[in-house]
Amino acid sequence: MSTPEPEKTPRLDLADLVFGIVMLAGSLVVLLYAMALPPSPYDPLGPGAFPKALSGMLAALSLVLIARVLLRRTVARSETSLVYGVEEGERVPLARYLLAIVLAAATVAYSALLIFTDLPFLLLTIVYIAALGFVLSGRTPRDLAIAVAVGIGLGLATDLIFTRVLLIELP
Amino acid sequence: MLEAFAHLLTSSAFFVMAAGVLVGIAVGILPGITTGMMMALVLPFTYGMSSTDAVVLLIGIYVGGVSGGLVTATLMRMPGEPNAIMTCLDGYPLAKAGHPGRALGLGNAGSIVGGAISWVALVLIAQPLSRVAIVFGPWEQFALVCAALVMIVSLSGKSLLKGLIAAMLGMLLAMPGIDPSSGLQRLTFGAGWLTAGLDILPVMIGMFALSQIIADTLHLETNQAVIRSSMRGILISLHDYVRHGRNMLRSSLIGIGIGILPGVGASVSSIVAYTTAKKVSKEPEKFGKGSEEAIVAAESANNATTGGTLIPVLTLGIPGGLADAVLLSALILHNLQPGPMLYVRSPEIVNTILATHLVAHVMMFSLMTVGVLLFARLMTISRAWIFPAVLVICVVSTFALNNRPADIWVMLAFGVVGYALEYVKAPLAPLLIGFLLAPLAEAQLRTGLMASGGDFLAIFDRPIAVAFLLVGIAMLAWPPVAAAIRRHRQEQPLAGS
Repeated sequence: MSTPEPEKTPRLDLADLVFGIVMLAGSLVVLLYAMALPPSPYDPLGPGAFPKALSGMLAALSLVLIARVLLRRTVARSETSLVYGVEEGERVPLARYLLAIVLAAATVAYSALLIFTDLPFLLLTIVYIAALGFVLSGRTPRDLAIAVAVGIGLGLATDLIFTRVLLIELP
Repeated sequence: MLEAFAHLLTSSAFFVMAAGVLVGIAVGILPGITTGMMMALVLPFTYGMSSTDAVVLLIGIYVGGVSGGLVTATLMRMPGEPNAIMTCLDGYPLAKAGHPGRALGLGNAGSIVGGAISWVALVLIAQPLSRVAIVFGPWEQFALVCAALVMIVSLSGKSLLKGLIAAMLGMLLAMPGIDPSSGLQRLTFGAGWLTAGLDILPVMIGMFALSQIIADTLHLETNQAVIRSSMRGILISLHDYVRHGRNMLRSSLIGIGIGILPGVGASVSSIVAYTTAKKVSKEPEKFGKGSEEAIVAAESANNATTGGTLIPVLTLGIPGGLADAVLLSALILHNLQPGPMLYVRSPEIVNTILATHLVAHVMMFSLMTVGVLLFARLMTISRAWIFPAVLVICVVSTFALNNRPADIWVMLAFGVVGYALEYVKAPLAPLLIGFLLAPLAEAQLRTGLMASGGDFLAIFDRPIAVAFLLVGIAMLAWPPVAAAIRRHRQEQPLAGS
């Protein structure tokens, strides 16, 4: 049988507090915009009613969350997940966080280069896959050779599949 | 239905289904890529396909993916798919004790039986339910969406508050764009690209694929031990089917029942089936140490969930999780109306979905039986080489849908949002379902109000709508009531002592 969570928690949950504040700020911005929307001549609700109701409820719920955190009341955690392996408060080595940041930054850079430059998809994809694969691997000289080979192979394969088989327009 | 089965035997449909099941099994085996994530990534590429081929491909991936997790769970003690987590507990010990083929065979048998029983339930329940749902007017539809959302929030675990916040956030994210009734722009904040609103796909790919990769990067594995498998025992005997028959049936029914509930999914069904099997077992002490009953229970339940989850999607147009949400999006992308009208306007699509669900299970069983040694090799591929390739597909598939570069930024932004929400343990299912169902809820409410001349109380003249609202209120009220009862029970012995 599971033990019920204690009603009070001794420490201030910063993550929940930040979450509540961000949600409150966002909902208030939306509420302000929604209140400025003109009524519709066609239906009683108009375009602003639903966003107003939703942002109002979100703001109220965020306030409850913030109040519970500040009063050191327990805020239960979700037990189901659609993104797996994220553990709050888990100690992950700093190097792993850096790796995740590098991955995100490389993907942003790859996307930006695809969108804003005329550099060919094939070249960018080979470099991206090889560079990121090498960074994520053990980074030995052997891994470098594998990264280059995988980059070329997967780059050519994706380019071929997207442009010749699926006939889709690339960014 | 027979036509649909015949269609699946044509070379093109057979090829598409085989490709789907193979990709699904591969995805199920490879840790770091989930079935729903792959379905979302593949969805834009189905745009050029016929709608029947698109659903054949997606159902193939779904069935293959749910089943493929068995291999990694058994040979590596690592769930390739989250729903295979219970299989790890007993599949691995049995494999380590020198019976890897037997462990895989039992799991595979459980999967095909669970899939077949859930197919029967799908066929028997879905059509009558759609006949009931077809008479729903705007008030009933609105109340149904509200009840479904509250149910998803309520079933997402203990966090009712965070679930409600996630659901509201999801619904709000669906609001920007052109108001469908008045044609006015709303919540576009002056950004031209927001005029068309946020597309579900970049949001889904970012939130579930990118954030999953970010999460996995924090736990990149070092060399994981893999048990060498053999074909011995991969086909279990008829006697084994009879011996485990009751367990298979019970676990399948659990899987179907839980699958119908929105926002719960195969992971929970395998846990419930495992726990139930342990409770009724004559040898509960073997659970966790290589119990055959445990493997059968977990695998029957998670495959049975596939049929259960399709029931609300097909009959009510209400998805319960990521895979169903992708399927629903696929129907919309192909200009089909999900929900009960699908049976009336596009019966061929419904029949294709039903037929594919069964045939894909048979194909999965055959492929897993014949090719398990080959599939097992996939586990040795490092995620360092998988992640960059998946990220390329994330970027390209996001762009491919509308040829809109802004979608790529939306996808990247939601990768961070998804990770952050998961970090604070806010459930993502209510957000996703809220995003998908908000336009429907709004449209139905506005239609209802237009018909009633702006009188919201008109909803109380509709008994079915009132019943849905009452279910929603009960689901909302139950968690605090249950907590109060638990507290009261806990305090009683203390007071008595």
